[in-house]
Amino acid sequence: MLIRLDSRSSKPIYRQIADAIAASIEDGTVESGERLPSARSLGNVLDVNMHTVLRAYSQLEEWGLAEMKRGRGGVVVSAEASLKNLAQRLVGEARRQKVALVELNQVVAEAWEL
Amino acid sequence: MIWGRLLGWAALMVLLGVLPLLIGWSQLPDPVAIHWGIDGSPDNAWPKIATAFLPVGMVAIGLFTTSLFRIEGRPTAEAVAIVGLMGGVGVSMMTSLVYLNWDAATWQEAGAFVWWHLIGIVLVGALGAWLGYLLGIRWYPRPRNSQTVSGPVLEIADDETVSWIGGCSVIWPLVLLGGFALFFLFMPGWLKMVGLVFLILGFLFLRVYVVINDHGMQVQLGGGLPAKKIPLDRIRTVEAIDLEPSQWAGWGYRVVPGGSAVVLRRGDAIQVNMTNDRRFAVTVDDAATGASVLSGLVARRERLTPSE
Repeated sequence: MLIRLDSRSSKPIYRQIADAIAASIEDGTVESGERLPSARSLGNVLDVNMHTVLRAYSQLEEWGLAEMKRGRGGVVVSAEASLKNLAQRLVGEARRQKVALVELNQVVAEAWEL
Repeated sequence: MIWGRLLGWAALMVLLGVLPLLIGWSQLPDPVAIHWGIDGSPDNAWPKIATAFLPVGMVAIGLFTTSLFRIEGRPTAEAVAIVGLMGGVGVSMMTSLVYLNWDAATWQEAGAFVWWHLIGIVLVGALGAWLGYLLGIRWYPRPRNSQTVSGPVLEIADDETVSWIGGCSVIWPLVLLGGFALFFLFMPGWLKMVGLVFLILGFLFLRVYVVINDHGMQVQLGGGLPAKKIPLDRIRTVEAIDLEPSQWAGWGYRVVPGGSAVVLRRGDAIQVNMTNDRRFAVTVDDAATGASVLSGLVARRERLTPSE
């Protein structure tokens, strides 16, 4: 897993970390089910604050690429599980907005066409 | 025959191990006390003839592990040392067994096992290992070889922070964990220590974890035990190699003339050639990327450090 951080970039550090890990997950260097290093140890390696790493991890969780598990730290989820996670969040948001399944399907179909 | 000397050495160890039994045969009860409790009194016995298998078994285990210590089909000095170690332990175990059972009417009346017997066993084992190593380097001198391929160097900007995290994990140390279980369930008390050593080694070598960053390369074994730390200013060149365990005389933490290595499997590995002319290698997945990152960091350090 290669992580390059550029302090002069306009992209915040946590986002650079999240992007780098996401790239490693996509190219298969980090496999699904693999445990991410603890926030403290990755912070030490990268010479950044532990909270910056935690923020990167929650970004990965938001993207559906990793899951934070109590006591086990971050775990990379499989592509299948990641899609399911995102779908659940989409359905949750649709229910909150009281959007019917037919309408939601339409929204997805429209997005697919884009 | 290449293995002849090693097998002869093993046979000698078995012979020395059985010798105390032959000498003491008529003086020993049948069955004989084979195991002593924590209070030092005997609490288990074997038929007299069965104890002959103790030195045989020890040497057999030693010979079995020599499969890990060979270079291009030839045993190494370590192989001879291991057989010496196991043989020495076998000899001293038999000696103390015969000594404690000597002239006892029944096995329950055998003498008490005291702590210095254990020290004696360890010392004789160490003596056997030392003698074996001395003979081994004479019988099986180490061939010199190292085929390496240099890789590309990652371009790194002056103020960029670049880190690489890698490693690999394997399952063969589970065999050691199995050995631990075997020793704990079936072996007499003092041999259980060997099981404990197997347990620790098994856990250590399940995985290796490598970090490359501005501080150089750090290597940790399973459980986070630091195994090696090489700062950037001690590195001359870095290569991604196709590591062959036989070139390092086996698996595990290897120390050979001219370098050391952490070898968990064959294949992808990073090799660092240091400024003191020693080399260090560690097996990692995607070694090419790791090596290019470390090369890049070394190159940048040289670029940014003013030359005297």
